Amino acid sequence: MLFNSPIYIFLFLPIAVLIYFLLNKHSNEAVGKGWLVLASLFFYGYWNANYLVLIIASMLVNYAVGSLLRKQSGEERLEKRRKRILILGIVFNLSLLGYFKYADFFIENINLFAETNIASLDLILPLAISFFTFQQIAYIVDCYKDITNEYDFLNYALFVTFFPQLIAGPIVHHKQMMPQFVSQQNSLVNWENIALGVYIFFIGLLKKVVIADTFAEWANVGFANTESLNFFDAWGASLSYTFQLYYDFSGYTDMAIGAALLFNIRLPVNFNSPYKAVNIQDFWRRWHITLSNWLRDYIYIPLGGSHASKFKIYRNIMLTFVLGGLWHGAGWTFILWGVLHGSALVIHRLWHKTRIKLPKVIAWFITFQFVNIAWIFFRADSVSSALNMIRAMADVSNISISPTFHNLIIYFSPIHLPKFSFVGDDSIFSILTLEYILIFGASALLMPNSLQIIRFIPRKTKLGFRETPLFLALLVLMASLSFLTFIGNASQSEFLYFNF
Amino acid sequence: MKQKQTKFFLLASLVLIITIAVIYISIFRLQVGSSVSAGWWIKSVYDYKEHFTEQIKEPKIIIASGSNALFGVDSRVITSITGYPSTSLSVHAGLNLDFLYFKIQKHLKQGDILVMPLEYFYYYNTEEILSQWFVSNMIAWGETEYLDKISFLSYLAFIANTPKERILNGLYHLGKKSKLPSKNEVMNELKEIHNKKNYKFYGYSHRSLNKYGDILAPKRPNDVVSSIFFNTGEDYTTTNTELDPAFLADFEKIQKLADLRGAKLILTWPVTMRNKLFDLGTEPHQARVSLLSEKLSENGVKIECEPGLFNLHYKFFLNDRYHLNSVGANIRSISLGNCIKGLIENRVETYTFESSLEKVKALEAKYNYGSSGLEWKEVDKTYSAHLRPH
Repeated sequence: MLFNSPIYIFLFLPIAVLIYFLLNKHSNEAVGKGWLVLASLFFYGYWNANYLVLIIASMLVNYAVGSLLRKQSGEERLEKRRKRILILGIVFNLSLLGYFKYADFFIENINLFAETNIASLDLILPLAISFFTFQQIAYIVDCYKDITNEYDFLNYALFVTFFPQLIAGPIVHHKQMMPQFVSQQNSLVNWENIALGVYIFFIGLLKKVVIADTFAEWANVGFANTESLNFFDAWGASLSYTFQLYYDFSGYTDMAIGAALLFNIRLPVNFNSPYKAVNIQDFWRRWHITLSNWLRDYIYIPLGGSHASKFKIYRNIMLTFVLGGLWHGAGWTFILWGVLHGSALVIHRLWHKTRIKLPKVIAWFITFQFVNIAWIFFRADSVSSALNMIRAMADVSNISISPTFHNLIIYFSPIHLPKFSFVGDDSIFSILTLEYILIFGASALLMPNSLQIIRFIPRKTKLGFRETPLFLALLVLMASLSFLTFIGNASQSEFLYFNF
Repeated sequence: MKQKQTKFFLLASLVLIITIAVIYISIFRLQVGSSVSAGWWIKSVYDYKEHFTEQIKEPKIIIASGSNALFGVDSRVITSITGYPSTSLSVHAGLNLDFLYFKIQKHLKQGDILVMPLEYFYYYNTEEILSQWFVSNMIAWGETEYLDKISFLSYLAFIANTPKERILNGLYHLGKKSKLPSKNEVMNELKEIHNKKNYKFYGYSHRSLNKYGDILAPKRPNDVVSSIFFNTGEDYTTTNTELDPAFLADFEKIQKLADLRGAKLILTWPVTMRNKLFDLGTEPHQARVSLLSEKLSENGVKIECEPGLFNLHYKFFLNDRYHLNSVGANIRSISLGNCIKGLIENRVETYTFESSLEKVKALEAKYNYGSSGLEWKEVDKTYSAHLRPH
């Protein structure tokens, strides 16, 4: 069930909310929570009921490991045993992830390098496995460190399965979620949260169906034909993907935050206008924040973090980002993407030491272009396909524009221009592509973001949500535009991060 | 105070969104039936076919599927072999199974035999819930045929699957002269054509229908057919082995209808083109067809007859991988008629792929260019005996 499907918007979500509060009102909270866990498991099993076994087994094992670790805490003589339990727990989680997500990648590479012929497993990646595995690794590590409280299984099950964030995050931390699940205040209807939740939900829906899905059309065509792109087409396709990914993923997150708010649950901030970043470190403080935090807390710092020799710090950064790349998918393109970002962070550290400050616009431009180029590896089917696109983006000798575009330039030019010699067929880089890139690019760069609008991130803005006629009109407009956009499209498109 | 304001905000949003939805639905309803370009001929073909079917006293054979039976079944041949008057409600495979259900339920009576040689794609999962072709045609001419009969929720789903451009197009053509001849016009025109007794093929038109509601198209020159069909047809079956849940649900509905009316339902194979890309004499294609049979069986659906019996050489085709010419229709109808007869008489004849292909090849050799070898006067007698008195 997709967040942008009518069945979710008109049936599943309203029914889940309604029954949750009815149960809370007429029976005790545990029943309400039980309902929410069941609804979440239904939501997960809607794609493929077979994988319910996997998520339930993973939840049971991790809860058992966590309970065991907590029970034995504080006793020094059991310390070794606790460590073994923790290692076993982590191995269990990584094995699940490794088997379903990376087994075929390793087989493929063994076959390639050792010239063997091992048959691939052809497994279908269970949805959300990367997300719920990471959340639970964090949980058992914190149990080992003895920084978790006693949670009952129902709250734990809700923490893992809570449907608004189950499929593609934000990656939630038990410390953020558990107090909210146990708060009695949160079991009562809160109309302000509902209004805020509905508003941010429709911002997310608009981002997904109106903006991201339109960018997707150009990006998909471009990335499917990287060997035949000209200069403008290649830029059109790469920028389209850069904005598609942002609007798609942040749109999904907005919808997740909105849905969670209906239940009085506040999910963590995951995006904070990442394309406004003026250096790569700044970018990672704004992009997929919950993943960055996880990588920092559970990989970078345990590796030694910044309290080590220069070489080790750089090694730690590189390792963290290569693993971050691998987390997104089993493929060399993701590894390369991780290497690129790791290297950029190392370079940023070195640059920082020179104390040379670039003008903000230049710093922004370099950061944005780096991110844009790196996304090409993230999106391309293969390394060679990514290189083809980058080559086309640099090949100024291969310029060709669509006839409509050409005619418009001639028409609007203040001076008389001769007919261009590089007019080709209709290309990916159409007037509409340019309009979308300019309008929604500018919006990503200049406007307050959705979380600032609902005041999850503090910022002084006149666009801050209030229950006024203006926001009523905006809400109705966003909802109508979104519904109109997916009318006539028999199937809704998946969110990009569903694949990770 | 604050809570009151918030509640008002939410209520007002809901009311406004519902109002916009109601306006949209009203606009949709307004343009239903406007004369946009669509497969209007299908409606006229159905007008005649249903009229012909209504004339037959039960029990009868009804053949219902897409165009593989419009072009590929000679009802007279089926009648001659089985002794049952046969009629076909098959027109276009773009019409979904739910639509066929509505057509069937108008005509299926006790003792009837419903034969469904569905095209392969009816079985498989497709991304599209309702094809845009189907949606567009139902809005054009399907109002009383389909739209008025589906549930409110299905109606909403239908609107959600209608492209906005199609609605704008409908509004643009609102009030323009209808492209649809009236049922009377269709009947009169066909009566005149049939009285002349010199059958002509007019392409996709009700005027191509013979007296029995079939289209028996002339054979085209071999070189033309070869150039079109030598290399087409591979995508009959798909590597996607999952059956469409919508197919299973709709088929169950039809099975229940047949049980309720005391009719017999026979699901069977469509006609396919035998060329180098799809040959049921070869293992990969046999495997794919067998897989479909197994999947159906796993879901409690039995598919009758042998698919090889309907795997005809490409020279017996007209203009599409499912459209036979009249010679092909004759050969296919003989195989289908014999199969139906066997099932009626509870005679189980089992063939292998090879033996069924041998059988069809023998028929191909026998009727290559000639007539069916049947006495049409005898066939007409069978129909006459079952026609309702006017």
